[in-house]
Formats: sequence, structure tokens, C-alpha cells
Amino acid sequence: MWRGLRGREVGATRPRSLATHVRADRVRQINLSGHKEIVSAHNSGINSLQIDCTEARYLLAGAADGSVGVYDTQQPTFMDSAIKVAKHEALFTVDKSVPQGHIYSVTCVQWYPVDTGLFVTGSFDKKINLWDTNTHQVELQFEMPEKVHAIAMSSIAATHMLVAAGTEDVRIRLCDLASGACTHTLSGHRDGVWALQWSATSEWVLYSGGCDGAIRFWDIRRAGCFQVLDQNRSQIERRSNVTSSTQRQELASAPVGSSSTSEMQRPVAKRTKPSTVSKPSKIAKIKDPGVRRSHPGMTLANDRSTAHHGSVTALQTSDDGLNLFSAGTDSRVRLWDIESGRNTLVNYEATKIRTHQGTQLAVSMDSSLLFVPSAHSLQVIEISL
Amino acid sequence: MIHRKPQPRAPRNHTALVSLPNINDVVTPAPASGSPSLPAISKRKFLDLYSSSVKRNRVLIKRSREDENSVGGSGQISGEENDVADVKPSEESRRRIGNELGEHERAESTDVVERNGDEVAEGNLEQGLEEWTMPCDTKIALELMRSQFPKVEKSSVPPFVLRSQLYSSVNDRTLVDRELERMKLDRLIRVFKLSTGQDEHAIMLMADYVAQINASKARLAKGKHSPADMAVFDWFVRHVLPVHFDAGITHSKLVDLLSEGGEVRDSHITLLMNAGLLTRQLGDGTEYWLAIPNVGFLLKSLTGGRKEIISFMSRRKYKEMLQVPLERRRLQYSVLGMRFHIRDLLGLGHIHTVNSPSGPIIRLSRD
Repeated sequence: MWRGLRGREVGATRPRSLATHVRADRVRQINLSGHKEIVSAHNSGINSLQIDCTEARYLLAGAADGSVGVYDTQQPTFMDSAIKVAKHEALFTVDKSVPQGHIYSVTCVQWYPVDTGLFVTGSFDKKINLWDTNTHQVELQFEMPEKVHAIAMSSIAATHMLVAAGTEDVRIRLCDLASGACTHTLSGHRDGVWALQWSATSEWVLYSGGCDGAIRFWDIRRAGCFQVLDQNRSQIERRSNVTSSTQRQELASAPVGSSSTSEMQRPVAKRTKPSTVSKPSKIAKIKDPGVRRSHPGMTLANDRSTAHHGSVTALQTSDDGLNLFSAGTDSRVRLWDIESGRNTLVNYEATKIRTHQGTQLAVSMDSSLLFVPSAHSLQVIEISL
Repeated sequence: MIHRKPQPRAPRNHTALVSLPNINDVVTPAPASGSPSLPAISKRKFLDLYSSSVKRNRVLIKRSREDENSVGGSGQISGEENDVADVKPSEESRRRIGNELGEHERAESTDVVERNGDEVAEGNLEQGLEEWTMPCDTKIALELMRSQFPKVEKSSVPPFVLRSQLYSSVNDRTLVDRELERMKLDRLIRVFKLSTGQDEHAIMLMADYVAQINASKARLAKGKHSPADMAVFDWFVRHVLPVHFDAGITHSKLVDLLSEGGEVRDSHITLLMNAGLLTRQLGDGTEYWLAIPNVGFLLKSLTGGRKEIISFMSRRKYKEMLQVPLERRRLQYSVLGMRFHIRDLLGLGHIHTVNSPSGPIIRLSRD
């Protein structure tokens, strides 16, 4: 480490490469910290954690008793010199004693992506609150029809301030912080939505994973979702061809990719032993009039392909925005190629995910390690691409 | 150590060994030149020198007969050479299987291979060598386990392999998934989703599956069904299986594919369901799982055996047992055999092996 710093001083190594090198080293030797302790101010289990992305300093925690706490991870509040441990206590907590505070379990918390002046929380009491960090009060409250499982705000959004909310209701709602109203309703899932993630490359694209096992991609400027991930459509090693979204419906070239359950499939393209006699009648039969008349955004509404055999509990995009990780209650963590929408068939073993609500996945900064909570432990898995 | 059975000598009929460096050229001196430029060695000595590679060559040829669809191995294996002399890959890949269940497994695999190799030696060797591609790890593991499938008198289901068993035999799970996908697209195997758990899959060779379909068709034919209705089995095998590779199928897609054979009625679909080829999906009226007919008894055995082993292990004082005596125990609730269940549980992660001075120990995994 000191040698690396000396090299950076002299100019032998680039500053950025030293930083990534040190970071990668530390992540690989991850261990419970012996000199720093965060003292929890909650009386129950903690459901959701987030460190703000602007300064990487303040930790926001939502617990099952309805309390939300903010901790400073860099400046300790109390230094125990006897055992040489720095203790970080909560800067403040808000719970049901605050007017309009949450009364049931808080399931998801997120900092406002621009600065740490605001944060958003969602809870089982069917409400989403927008809190002001300095006054510790609720600024805005959105009412949801069902218990809230997941919220997400886009960290690269420049033109909108929408909070995506996933509840036990099948529709995803987008709530606008500027106006205080719900602007969008995205329908397509068949069961509750447990995982939401905004795209890392586009501020208009939202990924959602539901209890029905489906993962859908939504472009909020259009109606309906534009892609549904199917675990049977897979690619081995390479993307077959990166085509436009309309052509994605048809089957890709023969060696890679298998059939999809979508009704827009043209069987002529994928037939390996074409029967010339029945071809014209085949085409006539496939195009049933109902499909042709529907709105282009609604063609995927009837698509029932699933990404997991159970429910999808967590979604996470990699930093470069090319890959999507999804964890499901069938104890599988799958890696998807976002551009082609296919399963890359990478198998992450030994994950026992048995949850009744959404969880979080995390990817390390250089996109080389994946952190998966499984049963009683946290698994750190190398991402192989 | 790989134990090999003694091989019979290469046949005297040298025309069969056309693809090898021609023995006749080397052994008999060229008539044109007066003095023999090559050292004179007898044919027997030549065969002694090359006999080991001939033996191994037979193994290679056997593979080529099976991989007629030229299964391309994954990137790791395909780079290796096809040289006659360089046969380490096939042994290495067998070793690479990393089967901890004892060396007798490996011996049995070579037995299977060499027994079949003898039959094929006189086959189309020249063509075989040119088309031969390295069998992938998964294929070898699949064949090994299929050959060890326990014989059950009660049911007539052909051997299938569970995906978790493949995971416990091959080191790399991603490799297994990808190779299975490739074999599925090459129409060598068929993957079925079982109802015993959320992520259980059974893998069966295509030929076995078609044979099972025909067997269930014959069984149903004894009942009163019109021959027009029975034709749906042929339509299924000819139109649905080669095209649709997933474990499940929607009703509309099924009807579309079957109607290439003729007009499809609801009674046809009912017939397929009665035969056990289709099962309705839970919670969905219009989707079906493709299923193995008559597999219910074995599935009951599977869950019963798993539960029995886990409960037996958890009752022991230290939740572990030496592997060799464990394999000798008899299971009360399962006909599938101890080895089958141990492999399956290893792949699922419920148990794991630990090496000890007295041999491998099977231990129950704690969460």
C-alpha cells in the first residue's frame, strides 16, 4: 500500500489505477470490522439499508418496528478508548411518534439521489413518506392500495423526480415528488412486485421483478413493458445479435437461443425441418386477429414467461449497465444480458434464498463481486462473465 | 489410478486400421529401394508399440459414433488436439469429473466405454476420426450416471438423471448449464421440470424419451380409442419435440404445433394428458409442463429417500457418517439406491463431503 502511494507520488502508477487496486484488495479481504461499530437504535430487525451516493457517508436504515435511523459512518459519536472501538450512534431516528410517521414495518428506504436533504421510505402501513433530514418531519405522503414492498428512485434522472413503488397490488405506481401526485401506473405483472430497479444507463427505463416470477423492462415514456425476461431464452458466451426491440420477438439465429412462449413468434423462422406444403396455411393460422389489433405496448401483456420458478426477490444492475442480476425464491441467482434480454446461464451456487419479502443484492464497485444474502449468511460470489 | 481391463489384441486384418499411420508402409520394406531405409520391425512389435494408442483410439471412435451431431464442447475443451497419440484429454476429463464417490466409479466408467468400444472397432474408423469431437464433461457424467441408474422392476421408466447429480459430479456448474443447453438445442437430451421442488429438473436422452412415449402409447392402445386419436402421439413426436425445447408449453402453441399433423381436438389433448405426457401447470389454466409418463412412483421414492437420509443424518450425534458404510445401508422408502440419493443431495447442498484419515465423511450442512 505504501509502495503504491510512493509510486503514485513519483508518477509510476496512475492515481485511478491505485485507487481501484486498493479497493479491490480490500473487498477481497472483507471481514467484520474490529475497530468500528454502528450502534443500532432500533428494537427490531433491520429491513433495508442504504448509504447515500453523493458523499458515501450517511447510512439510512429502516427497521421492522417502523423506525428509521440515520447514522454517520465516518465521524464516531463516542470513542471507547478501553477497547479501542469507535462507536457510531444514530444521528436521529424517526418512528411512529412523529406525526405521519410509519406505524408498521418499514420495508424500503432510499436517499434522494441528488443530496442527503431528503429521503423516501415505504412501509407495510401502505404509505410512502418523503422526509426532510434536517427537520425530521414528513414532507409528502403517498397512499398506496396495498403494502409497499419496494421503492426506487433513479440516480441519473435529470428531468424527473419519480419514485417507483412496488406493492402487493399488481400495478407499479410512479409518484412524482415535485407535484405530490401519482403520475404513472404500469400494469403487466400478475402478482405483487417485490423488486424494482432503475436502469443505470437510461433515466426512463425501469426494471421490475414480481411474485409471479417475471422480470419486466418498462420504458416510462411508452405504454406497457418492452421486454419480459424468459429463463428459457439463453445465450451461451456471446450475444447472438443485438437487434432492435421489434426484431427481438423473432427468434435469433439457430445455434443460440431457444423458443419463447410469446404469441408473436413466427414459426417459419425457427422451423428446422420446414414442411413446404403447410407453410402458407401455417402463417394464416398464427396471425389471429386479436393480437394484431392491440396496442404495440400491450403485446407483451399476455406473455407469461418467467425469469424464476418462484418469486423474484431482488434485482441489481451492474455498474456498467450491461448486466442485470436477479435473485429468486427458487434459490437461484441469475445473470441477464440487458441488451439482448437473455439468460447467460451463469450458475451461482450455494444460495439458499428463503424470504417472504424483497431483499437487496449488491455489486462491488469494479463489478467483480456479488453480495447475496442467503439464509443466515452473506455470500460473496465472483461474477464471471 | 484408472483400472483398465485387459484389451484383446488388434485384429490381424489391417484393412480395418486404415486411418492409423499405415502399418504396412512402415513394417514391410519398400520394394523400390534396394536397401531397406527403414528399420525392419515385425508387425507384432509394431503393434506392441502402438497397442496402447490403438486401445485408446477405440475409445475415441466410440465417442464419435455417438456424437454424430458433432456436439461441440465448451471453449475450454475444444482447443485440445485430436491427435491419436495425445489421448490424455479423455482420461483427464474423466478424472476431472472429480467424482468423490470412490474409484470404483471411474473403473466402471472405463468398463462401460471399453465394452462398447470393442463392438465398434471394425466400424467406419476413417470417417469416425475426422468427425470426432471431444465429448464434454457433462456428457460423460450424464452417460456415467445413466448407466448406473438402478433397475426397478415395478416401473418401466427409462433412466433419467437429475440436474443436481450433474452439479455434484462436474466441478463447474455454469459449464453444466451451458452444455446442457447446447445438448438440448442439438436434440440429444430433453429436460423436464419435476414437481418435487421448485428448481428440480430431470434429464433424459431423446431416444429414451421417444421409446417411453411409444410404450405409453402401446399401453393406451389397449383401451378403446380410435386410431385417429392415437395419431396424436406421432404428431407430438414429429412436430412438437424437435421444435420446442422448453420444459413447459402454452396451450395455443401446443395446438399450433400439433395441427401440422392434422386437425386437433380437445380429445387429443386429453389423450396426451392421460398418457402422462402433459401436466397442467398450477395456477394457470392454459400452460402445461411436459412430463415423463409413469414417473410418479419414482418421484415418490425420490422425496421419501431424501427425507429418510436427512432425518437419519440429523439423528446422529455429530450429524455425520463415513461414506462407505453409509452407501451400504438400505433405504426403506426408496427404490432408487443410496448412491443416487447421495449424489442428488450433494448437488443440492444439503450434505457435503469432508476428507478424513479414515476416508470420506458425509456431513449434513448447516445453514
